[in-house]
Amino acid sequence: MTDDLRTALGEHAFFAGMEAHHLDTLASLATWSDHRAQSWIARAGEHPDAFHAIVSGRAGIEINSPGRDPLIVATVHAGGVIGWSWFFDRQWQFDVIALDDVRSIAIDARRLLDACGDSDGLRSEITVRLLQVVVSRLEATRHQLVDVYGHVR
Amino acid sequence: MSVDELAAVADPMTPTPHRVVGVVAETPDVVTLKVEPVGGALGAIRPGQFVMVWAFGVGEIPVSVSDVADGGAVALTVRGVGAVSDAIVAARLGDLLGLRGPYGTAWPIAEATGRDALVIAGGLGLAPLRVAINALANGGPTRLTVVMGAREPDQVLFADDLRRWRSLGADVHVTVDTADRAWDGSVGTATELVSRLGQGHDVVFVCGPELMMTSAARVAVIQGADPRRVWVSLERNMHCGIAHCGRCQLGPLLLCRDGAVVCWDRVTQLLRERGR
Repeated sequence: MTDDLRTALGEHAFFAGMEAHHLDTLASLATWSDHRAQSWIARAGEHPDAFHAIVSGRAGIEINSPGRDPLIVATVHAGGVIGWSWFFDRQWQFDVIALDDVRSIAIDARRLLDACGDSDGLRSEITVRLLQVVVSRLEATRHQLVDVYGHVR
Repeated sequence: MSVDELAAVADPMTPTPHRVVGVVAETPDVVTLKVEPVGGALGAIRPGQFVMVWAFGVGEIPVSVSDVADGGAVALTVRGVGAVSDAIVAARLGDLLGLRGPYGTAWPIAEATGRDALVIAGGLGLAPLRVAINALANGGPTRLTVVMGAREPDQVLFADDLRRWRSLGADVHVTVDTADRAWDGSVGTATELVSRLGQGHDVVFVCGPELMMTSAARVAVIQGADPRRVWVSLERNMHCGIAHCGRCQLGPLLLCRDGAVVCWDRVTQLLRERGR
């Protein structure tokens, strides 16, 4: 763990307001992770090895469907996080690609799950924050589903 | 409009002929027509007001004014979604259209002076905000942020204006519902983008599909904007333009007269009621 990584964790929007000892735990499990533009951060079907908190750049959540070009359905920016699959010990459901050079704080997913098991406080903190992310993306997905910019003849 | 003002108009339902002098294809299904008066020009048009546009022999619809120029020239940005709008979109150089107006309320530009201004546009909603943003970008607010949402990258309107507003110091963000990897903006809803921008906006103008507007206005208020300083542009079935026919009624409001630009705290409750 480096001091700047611990500081970056404390300043990241996802972890805002978290108690210092939880941030210390998270920092002990984290490393800097740099992704060149157009490189993969996660691939659908693979098991998540890290929970990424984006510090800079844009990551695109991409759906690849046979017979059509890959489609970006959401971008994640500085202050955002990628994925919750790791929390439920399941595979990534979508591809995630770095659309710019992306820097993230990568927290070891397996060790983070273990740490959540050891500490009710940390599990609760992570659960509530992830739930906020899920709710936000669910609301956005509903609006996209309605196709608000469409028009009816 | 008072009875006296109404009486001063020879016939408020008579359109003034305007000739199409410019056609710009903004997106695959949206065009901007520049029209000039053949005879007398309409009265002064304030940012956010609309005009009634006749496609002769077809019908009449309300259209927001997306630009104004000297000599009474007006820009109308229209998407073809029905018989009348299709006829307007199909207009060619030299064709005649009939215009009445201008009608309705305007964006309160002066409210943004010395304040932090946020403008949120969805889809074609950028058209009635364009003149307002031009005014704001040329000075007034301490900071100007523009958020533009569209379905896909090829549906983003006024790309040149977005660049120009950036060059004038505005913080311009564009987000689309879906995109390919070549897209250099955000993917997601305008409301998400507003959430990500955080707090600090004093004056908020919102125009777009009603679902998007209500969602974005709510988030702006949650983030600290005073509901009395949030304005939205509401459309109903504007028909007469002079508050007589009642087709554009929203509760106690006749939106052709009391809107389209209305203060959020005046309509928050009305928009919660079903069937409005």
